[in-house]
Formats: sequence, structure tokens, C-alpha cells
Amino acid sequence: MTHTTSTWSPQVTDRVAPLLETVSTTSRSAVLVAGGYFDTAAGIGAFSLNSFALAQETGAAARRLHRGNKVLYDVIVNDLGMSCATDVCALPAAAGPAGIDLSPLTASAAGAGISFTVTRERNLRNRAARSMKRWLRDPAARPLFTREGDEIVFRSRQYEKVLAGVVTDGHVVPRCPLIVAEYFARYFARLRRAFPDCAHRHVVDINSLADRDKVTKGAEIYLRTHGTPEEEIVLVFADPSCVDPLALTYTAYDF
Amino acid sequence: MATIYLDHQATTPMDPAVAEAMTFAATHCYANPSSPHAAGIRAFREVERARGAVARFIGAGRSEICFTSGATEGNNLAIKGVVRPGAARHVVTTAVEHKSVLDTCRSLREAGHEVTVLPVDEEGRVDPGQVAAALRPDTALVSVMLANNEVATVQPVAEIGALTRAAGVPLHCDATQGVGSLPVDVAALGVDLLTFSGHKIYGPKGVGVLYVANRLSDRAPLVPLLHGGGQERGLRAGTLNTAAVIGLGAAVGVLATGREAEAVRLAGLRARFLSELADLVPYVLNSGTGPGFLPHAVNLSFPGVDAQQLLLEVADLAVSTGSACNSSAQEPSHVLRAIGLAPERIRGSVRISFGRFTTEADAATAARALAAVAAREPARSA
Repeated sequence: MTHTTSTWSPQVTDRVAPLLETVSTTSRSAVLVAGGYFDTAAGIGAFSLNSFALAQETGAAARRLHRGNKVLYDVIVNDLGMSCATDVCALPAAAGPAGIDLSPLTASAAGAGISFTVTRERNLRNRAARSMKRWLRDPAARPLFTREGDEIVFRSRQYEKVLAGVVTDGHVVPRCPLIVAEYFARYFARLRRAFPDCAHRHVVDINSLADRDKVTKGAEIYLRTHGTPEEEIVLVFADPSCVDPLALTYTAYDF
Repeated sequence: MATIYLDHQATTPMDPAVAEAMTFAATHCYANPSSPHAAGIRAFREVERARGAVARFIGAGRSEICFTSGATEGNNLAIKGVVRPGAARHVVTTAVEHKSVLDTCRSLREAGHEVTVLPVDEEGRVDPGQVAAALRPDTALVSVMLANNEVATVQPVAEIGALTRAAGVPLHCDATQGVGSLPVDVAALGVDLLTFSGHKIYGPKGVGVLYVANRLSDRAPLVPLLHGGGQERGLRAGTLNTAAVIGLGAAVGVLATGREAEAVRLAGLRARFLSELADLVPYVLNSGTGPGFLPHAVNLSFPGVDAQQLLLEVADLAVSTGSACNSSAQEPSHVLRAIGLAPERIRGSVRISFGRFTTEADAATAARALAAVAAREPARSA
């Protein structure tokens, strides 16, 4: 997508302006802002609260850019107990606790007058696993993935190697990039369904700094396998304070 | 008198906007762009902006741009990366390519591959029909430059691209000399690989671009020359030269805004220079000055004059007697030989190229300075 904004609404703060740089001011856009991410094991902390506040500010600004813009909010919850690093990820046997206390986020949303959905990474993982199991039966259906021994590798155009999953005893254990791609697939589909008359769709995904590689890989997987010219992913990276977020924008054309 | 710099085919002075961008980069984007902290991501963002600017500039996708240390590395990587070790393959190139292409091909020949070096006509242009005739079932690559660094000839790359595409052979284009003054669109040219360097477009030295079409790398990824941290999709390991990359992005941005108008202005300067010179001293052109040649460059000889001696006598004027890269070789230019010039004419050849900061007064002054020395040189030689 190449639409750009030439003038900024005075209500758009310097903090969120870069996150919405490519949102049109002349035609309707559907925007999903994902903030408030937290790990069930650690609970809702500073990053979750501050990134949720940033999401709200971003969504409010997106609404002001065009009167027809539609905005949804989502909070991703890591209930996998997955630990991530730059180039490895490990899945411990035990997952997080069953009950999730969302009250700090609920209170924040109520204060802002918005509602939000919650996405559990376990659901995303299961959907991704089912999808890859279908791929195992028909690899030609998704030629961008290849099987290298037990590994399922995505043929990236920006990384030397992207591990999408591991096959164990006939089951696929999706790795982080595939789970992230599943997230984008789910939410772009939701935006398409909910707002078919919006010309553009954006997912603004606010992440911790450490998640950079996995979400960037996930964005590539989604955009190259399912992305359309109307869709754009804005990957936002921030420290726990979320004072100075950094935005990287990706479209299918970038790959 | 300040030096009049008329050697823009060797290198260009840095544009102030590039210097400013690099100063910003040096002080604000010093972190490793691969690092997983805010400073690293900020540097990464600026690198990706530069990558996007370069991609748009040549009509490519962002993922098709690989940053290198310059055109020499890019040419080596493009050629050796496609012609991988193993079964002997065949490469086609031309006699007027830059040494970084010809010497790379020579190294392939020494490794057991076959190389066909095609001749050029008296203007330095390769015949697309000859390229087509040279293709074989085992041809792995064709490498043809966009424009020549000594005689400014623009090659028919798009025609060659149509032929190589039809034959299923990858085409590499060293666009180092043309990218500053000619429109470059990788799709229109039909190239699979394209290289250029920053310092020929008023950017920094030590940085360059290798475009690799996704259709090529998806099918057969290039074999890297450098191994290590997996940077640049694993194609070119090593921490990115962030400041230089950002400077290159700025250089491309400046270039994109006024290239056509600047090409017209430079052609005007060249015409003024030649007109002034013609009134003062006899000379013969070794390069063309019309369509099919770079607008800012000219190669000429003064009859009976040794160009190296001439340059010793001309103060405050920076011009070249041949390819600067080759000027230490103490041998006649391979390009001028390839277009069939006699040794005496090669000995008297001077390469002059105008640039962004050249004024009309500079062009006229340079002509007078060269003419003054050239007019007395033959007598001295005799």
C-alpha cells in the first residue's frame, strides 16, 4: 500500500504519529491495535499496562485520522509458558495457570470507554499446528515451507533461516513465527469480516523489544502466504515504559 | 585557484545532505542493527528506511536489496554467487567491463569454468545478437554493464535482458556508472542481479548495493562469499556499516528528486567545455556525446600529446587518463583497446566527467587550462 498522510491532526501525539504514518486520511481504514501483552506466569506488569495505554492512544488517534475509520483492540496473552530468545525458543512441558486475572486491563479499558478482546497464544498455537498438519499431508499446497528432517523451515526473504515448526511423533509443534503469523491471519480475517467496506486494513502490534525477530518473521510468513495489497502490519517495539515506541511497517510488497 | 574536480566517473564528492545524514547516524544510530534493544532497533529502522529508498529507486522490493561494501564486492558476489563451485559452467561478459567483473570472471576460468568475453564495436557497445549467439545450455550467467566507466557508452541492457529472460539465463548488470544519470528500473532492464556503489552517486565510499531478484534467489540462493552472523539474509555476513548505509539512502533520495534535469544540465556543461576546447586546440573524441552515452562524461585525445605528461603540467584540475581503478597498472586501458584505438591515441586520452557541483565557469576554465598545456606539449615531445 502506498497511501500516506500529508497533514497530521493536531490531536495525534508525537508518540503515536509514527505508528499511524501510513494510515490514510482520505479513505476508510480498519485498524486492530494489539497492546497489553503479558505472560500468565508473570501476570500483568508495567509493559502490559503501558502498552495497553499506548494501544488506546493509538486507536483514538486512528479514529481521528478519518471519520469512517474502525478500530478494534486486542490483548495477546502468553499462556504457553514459552521462553524466547533471538534465535531459539523452548517449550516447557507445563503451561501457565488456568485462570487469568484481567482486572487491571479491564479497568483501563473502562476508563477509556473501549472494549477489547483477548487472544490466547495456546489457541493460536493449536490452530497453527492444525494448519501445518494439513501441510504435512500436502506440502505442495504451501511451497514456501520445506521439511528439513524434523524441522519445518519457512523460506524467508529477510532471514537466513526461519524455523516454523518441529515435527515430533507425527505432530507439529509450531514455533513462535508461525504462531505470530496465525495471529495476523486471524485478525486480518476478523477485520475483513467486520469491516468489508474499509479500503485498508492495519494491524498495529505493540511488542516488547525482545520479541523483534519472532514477530518480524511472523509478519513475513503472514504477508507472503495470505497478505493482500490492502493489508499492512505495523510492528511496534517498546520498553516497559512505552515512552518512545519504534514502528516498523511491513506490507506484502516489502517481500 | 581551487581544484576543479572533473573526475566524477572515478568518484563523486559527498553531497552535504549525505554528510548530514551520516553525522546523524554516527551519533544516533551507532548501535548494532541486529541488537534486540531500542538503540539496535532504531538503527535497524533507519537501515530499513535506506533499504526501502534504494528499492524504490530501482523498482525493486525491499527484500531484494543487499548492502555490500561497494560495487567490487557486489560484482564478485553476484558472479561467484551464481556460478557455484562444482560442475563447470559458462559465463558470458564483454571486453569493456570493469576490472571487478573481468578479474572475477578470470578467477572462474582458473577454477575450471568457461568464460566468453564478447567484443564491442568502435563505440564500445556490445551487440545483443552476439550475446544471444554466445548462450549455451550450460551458461550460468551473463554480465553486462549499464554504462562504461571510460567511454561512457550505454549498453543495450534491456534488449539483452529480453534475450536472457527468454533463454532462462540470469543477467547481471554492473550499473555503477549509469545509476547516477540514467533511469534504472530492474524490471524494465530485465536484470536478475544489479550492482552499484555509494560513492559514485555523491554518497559514502565503502558501501554498495547488490540487487538480487527474488525470482532468482527463491530458485537458487546465491552462494555467499562471507560467512558469519547471517546478516543480509545470510548473503553477506558482517555487521552492517550503518552510517554508510544511511548515507547511501540519503544519496539515493537526493538523486531521485532531480536526476533528469541534472542530466540535461551536465550535458550542457560538457557541450560548453568541448566548444571552448575546440576554439583553442585540436582534439579527437574517443567517446560519443549523443544519445546512447552518459550525459556527463567525455573521453578525448590530443594528437601527439602524452596524457600523463599533460596532467603533470595542468595544475588545479582533477581529470583522469583512464580508469582510475586501473591507473596504477601501467598498461593501456583495456576499454580503449577494445574499441580499437591506436596506442598513440590511447596515450593521449583524457577522461573528463562533470558533476553536481561543477559550474559553467569550471567547465570553461578547465578547457582553457587543458588547451594551454596541450597546445605546447606536441612541440615539447618533438
